[in-house]
Amino acid sequence: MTTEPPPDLRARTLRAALSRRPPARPAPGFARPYAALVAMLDALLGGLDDAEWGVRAAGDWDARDLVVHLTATDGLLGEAIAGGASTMDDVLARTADAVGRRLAPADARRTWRRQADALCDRLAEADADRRVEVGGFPMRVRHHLTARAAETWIHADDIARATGRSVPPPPAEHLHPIADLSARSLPRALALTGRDHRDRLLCLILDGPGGGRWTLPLSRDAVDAQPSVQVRMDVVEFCFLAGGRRDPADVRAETSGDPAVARDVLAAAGVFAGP
Amino acid sequence: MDGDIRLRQRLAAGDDGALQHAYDHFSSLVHGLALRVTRSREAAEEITQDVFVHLWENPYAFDPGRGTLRTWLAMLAHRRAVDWVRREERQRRLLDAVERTEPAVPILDVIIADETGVRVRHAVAALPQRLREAVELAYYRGRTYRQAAIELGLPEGTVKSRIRSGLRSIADTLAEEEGAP
Repeated sequence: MTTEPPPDLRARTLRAALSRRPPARPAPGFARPYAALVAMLDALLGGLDDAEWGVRAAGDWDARDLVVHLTATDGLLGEAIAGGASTMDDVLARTADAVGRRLAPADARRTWRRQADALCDRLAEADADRRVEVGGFPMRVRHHLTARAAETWIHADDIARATGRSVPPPPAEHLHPIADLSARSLPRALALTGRDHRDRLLCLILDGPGGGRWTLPLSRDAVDAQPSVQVRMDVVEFCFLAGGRRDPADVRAETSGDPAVARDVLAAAGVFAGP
Repeated sequence: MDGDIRLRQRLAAGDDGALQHAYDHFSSLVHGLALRVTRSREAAEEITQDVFVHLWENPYAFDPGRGTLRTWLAMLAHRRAVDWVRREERQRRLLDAVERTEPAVPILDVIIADETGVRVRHAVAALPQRLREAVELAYYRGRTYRQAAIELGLPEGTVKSRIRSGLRSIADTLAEEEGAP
């Protein structure tokens, strides 16, 4: 007798699996990392028991608070795409308001996922290159989605760590845009910390799948012909640094060239990390 | 190994193509193993489905640092197949006992074995009424099949078959509780 599974078992199995856990919501290319990270966090949340929902995962926030916080910021992005604008105070006020409502974890999770899927659905018709303001940051819609992907990942990692799990980094094609956004934000991050180094050119090398090499002028003014400083590190570590989850003084990075500039670059990388 | 790491990332990312890929590569292994252990096509299909649903729903449960996806899926299939065989054996023992004995013998001992009576009583309470009254008369009030049939105003064969269905359902309930992850 054959031991091969019957051909129709494949379709039955796939159907059963997708009814238990929906796949990443289909979305335009620029929003695929976001849709994928929403699916990743959702699977993680699906495995938490009651006690794990209440473990502090980032600062004073437990998993439920983080999900509520993501819901607040995702919601403000949805409103910005529809024509609104918001400041960081709006993000915090809306989070505080929702945290105060003490939603049950399952409700918090459902509300968040439903809104995230609805956001993905609306993006097919949105202008990805329009600049909108969320939490005080004006950026193109496409870059906001990348930033939302990054924050969703960082908080998934917070929750996984707090509950003794580990989540894999996003696949290379989703990790790259996240690293790219943080890399390109470095000049502005330096300017924001008041440590922009005029005339300097930075070479940033991020190792690992999804990494790459960036040559970044550290100010808008005329720059060196050749990079005067180089920073080389693991792409995942860089994303955690940019997400405010690594101490710039301890992070594993090889630097060469002007050490003061390299130090300032690492110190500034996390300046855009929200709460 | 690299392939496993990447597959796990894609499963975590909610990429159903990754699930299809896993199914296409490992369903023969999982199904063949379940079939060898259970010798039941129906069980082997159920186990195959369970194993891949579990992989998709819990993409973090598999840790590529500890072994290959192939080994992990085989272990999962084997464990579920062995559980299925144990459940079957237990149900068969129970039904054999029903066939062999009159209920005045405290046959629930067969089910209870190492169980606490509380779980059995819960399982009895959860039965549909027509099965519950037959089981209760026979096992809690010590009636013979014949006496139970007279009290219920039913043919003896009907009472016997209700008791058998009731016991099978109790055994399933207990087995499910045991098998719950």
